Amino acid sequence: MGEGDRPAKDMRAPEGAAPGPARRETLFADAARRHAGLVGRIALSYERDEALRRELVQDIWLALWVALERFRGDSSLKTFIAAIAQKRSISHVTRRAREPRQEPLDEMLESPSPQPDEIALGNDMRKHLVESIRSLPLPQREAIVLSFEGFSYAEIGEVLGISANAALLRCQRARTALKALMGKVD
Amino acid sequence: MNDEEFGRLAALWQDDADPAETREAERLAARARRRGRFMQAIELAGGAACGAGIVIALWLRPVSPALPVGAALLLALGYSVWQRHRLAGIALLAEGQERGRFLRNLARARRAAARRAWLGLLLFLPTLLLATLFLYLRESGAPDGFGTFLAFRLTTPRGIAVAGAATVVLVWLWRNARLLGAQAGRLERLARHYEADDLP
Repeated sequence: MGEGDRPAKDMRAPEGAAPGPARRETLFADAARRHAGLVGRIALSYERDEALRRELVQDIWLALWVALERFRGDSSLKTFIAAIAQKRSISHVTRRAREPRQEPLDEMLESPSPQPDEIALGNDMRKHLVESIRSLPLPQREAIVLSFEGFSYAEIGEVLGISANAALLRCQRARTALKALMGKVD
Repeated sequence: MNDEEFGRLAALWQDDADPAETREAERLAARARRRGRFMQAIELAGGAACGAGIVIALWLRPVSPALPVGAALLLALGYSVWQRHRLAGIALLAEGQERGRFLRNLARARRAAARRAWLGLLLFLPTLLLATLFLYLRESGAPDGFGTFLAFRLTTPRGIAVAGAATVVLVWLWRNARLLGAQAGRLERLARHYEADDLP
């Protein structure tokens, strides 16, 4: 795990703290320090092109900067960030003229050549995982990414605007679909 | 996929502890914050400049009937700046509905915007022609010779400039209508993904 934004360390806004510009600055600094990875990975699951992904990440941060002024702490900061990031990513996808790429997985990844270096192997595996996630239909992609990020079904439901049961069902479908896709290299 | 496999993949998914990527993410966040502050400052500065303009205008020519109007303008301006600032944050938080429904609503709105754009495109040339005819009738009093007048006007520098501007507007309208149509189609397809996923 690469950073300090795991569920156990998540932060809730102080109860009753009034939203406003001063608190926004504190929250934004905290978000950038602890949840940069979360934002980056959500963007990664939607956009393959590096330059467009950077644009998307910046768009998410800008939206967060604007929205944090109204953050009341009804949910955790991490859930709030994930919700904004998912919404901006969906907007990003809908703005683009082309379909999301759901092409067959890279031939090279289907039969990876043996790598003595474990890091290289890990990188290949991660690349394959990212590609597989990107190949999932949008509803399942959203659910599995949030699930991988350690959100509970209730929190996933909150982010996606569905019930916890529907979130559970969607995550299960996503797991099955992802397993089938990942199975190509296992 | 059992829990062990899931845990392994979750760890792999989160394993992006590349210091360069972390620095880049922090840099993007800092840039976004600067951009946000700048945009907010621009909005406030714009409001302040308009307000200052009204005050200066009133000070230079303090005509009594203009004073209440100026005061009302200042109030409206202040209210508008404050509300715009407030609504910017709310707009980002407002969408709390289920994603599929949200996408369907968005698709409907985009489809309507596309229809409006096509309508604008279809009506642009006839409207321009009617406006020219209206101006011609005001001058001459009868429609006779309008064709000759139009042909002559199109050879003058002013006529060429208007025709050029009209072409630019037409191309822009056409491009906009196509873009909106494509976006609506895309949103409808995405909404269908959610419908398919909601089936038992």
